[in-house]
Amino acid sequence: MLLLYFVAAGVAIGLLARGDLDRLAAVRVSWAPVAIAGLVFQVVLFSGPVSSAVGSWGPALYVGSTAIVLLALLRNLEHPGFRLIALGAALNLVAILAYGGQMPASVEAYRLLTGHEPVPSAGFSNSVVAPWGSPLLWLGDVFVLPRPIPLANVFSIGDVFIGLGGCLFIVRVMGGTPPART
Amino acid sequence: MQQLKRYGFRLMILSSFLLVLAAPMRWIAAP
Repeated sequence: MLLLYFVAAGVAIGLLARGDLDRLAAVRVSWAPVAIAGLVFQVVLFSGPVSSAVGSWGPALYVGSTAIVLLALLRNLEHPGFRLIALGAALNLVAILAYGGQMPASVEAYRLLTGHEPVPSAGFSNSVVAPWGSPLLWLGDVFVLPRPIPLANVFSIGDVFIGLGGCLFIVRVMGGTPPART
Repeated sequence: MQQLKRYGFRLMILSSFLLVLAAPMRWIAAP
């Protein structure tokens, strides 16, 4: 949830730079319903009863829904910051695919976040704990936003790119040329 | 109010992209 800090920072920086939120309202994002549907789908997928029921379909459903949302993002590369978001998403997806449909998190990052050893989850999770030195783990969740900071979680280098891209999008759009009125 | 709804909606769209692609719903090994 580190990302919500980037979104808030984007709005704050945009306002401090005398940007205009109205310009944000005028942006046209293609395939927007796909992004919203993707989020709703994944929230349901990772909810307790569903994550237990999906079984071996979990990784495919997770990777498939993420890939569709990435495709929707690629339809919008003309927007500022979206190339950075796409780069971060690609880095995350490489790590997720390398681990069979789950994002690897380092044991150390997990311990720092939770204060205890990893315990297996009951249902399908989009994350798997991996020991330090595992292949491509550096693309996984190796950083920690520690507690008691609100929204504490582990995060990856790809997440940082995605967050920076989102922040850049908001700042640039708010400070951009106002749309022509007809 | 209408304008507030419009940019709130844009922020929601952006957040949806970010939340799916960065997958912070990584409820890793939630006990």
